[in-house]
Amino acid sequence: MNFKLLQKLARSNKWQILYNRAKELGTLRLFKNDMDLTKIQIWMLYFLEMYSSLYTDLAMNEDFISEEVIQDDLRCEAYLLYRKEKNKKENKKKFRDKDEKITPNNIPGVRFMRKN
Amino acid sequence: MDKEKKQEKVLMAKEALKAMQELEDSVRLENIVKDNKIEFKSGDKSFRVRKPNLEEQQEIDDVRRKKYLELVRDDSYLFKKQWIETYKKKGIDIDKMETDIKRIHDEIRRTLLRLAKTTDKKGIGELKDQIMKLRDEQYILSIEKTDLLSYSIEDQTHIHAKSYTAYLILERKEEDNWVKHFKDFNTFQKSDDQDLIGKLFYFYDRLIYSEVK
Repeated sequence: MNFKLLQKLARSNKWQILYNRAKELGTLRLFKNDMDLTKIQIWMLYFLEMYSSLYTDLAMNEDFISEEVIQDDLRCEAYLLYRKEKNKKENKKKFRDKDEKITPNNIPGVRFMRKN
Repeated sequence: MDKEKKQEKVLMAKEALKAMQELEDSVRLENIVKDNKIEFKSGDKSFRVRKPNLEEQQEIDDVRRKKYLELVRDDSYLFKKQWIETYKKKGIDIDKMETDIKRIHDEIRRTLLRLAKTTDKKGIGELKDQIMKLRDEQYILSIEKTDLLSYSIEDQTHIHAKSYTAYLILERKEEDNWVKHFKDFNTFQKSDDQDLIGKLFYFYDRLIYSEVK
């Protein structure tokens, strides 16, 4: 399936406004059917959320995101991968810091492992 | 000067035509997305495809299971694993193809991460070209692998179930009612209406997730 046009539609003003309002209100319907979604509808929802998050990052002045990136499918993909990797690293660090905090006086924490 | 103006006009007309085409395509796509039924024309008739209901889904599962059993019992059909072994004896290494696909995938990932942090135009262009080349390479290998395994029991069962689903979900507009287009699966299989069958599978792929392992 060629996603180019679907992505263009998903990042358009009209669909981004519709999607964000539908999320806020909970009563606004994007499609005629509420359930039993088609493959293309599921992909549309995926892209709507993807572009919504990209516009949020743009508004938050995150690194390496710009309107130019959002309009470029390949650069979008690159940015999303970069963001995923960055979040993974940050989460790992957070868990490490948390572990260190709950083990006072440098006493090593105990990890319970499930027996196979 | 006149020639230049003419060329400019032609260019503008071409641009306008392209924009119109894109707009038309967008409208058509919006129509496909709005509902879980897709309407289309073939010849002068209106058709639609819709998702199979629960009863039809059970019928499809039944057809899939029967076809699978039929192929398993037929010694001229092989499983994917058996095909891979057969090819290996003939010097075609599908496992290596898979390793190569994975290697290219990892390389694309690394290049994408570099692209994300690149801001100069020249660098962006070069990295994008690299990714496109790698994707082409990956695509060719994937197609080659898929073609080699297309006669496997798994793929043949999938193709049969997909055809049966397509036959079930195709409807024709008769006045204000939608009626099943083909009276039975046999008629569907014998149909030589290339335009209709082509469109049917095109829209099928936008409607239903196919899970083939």
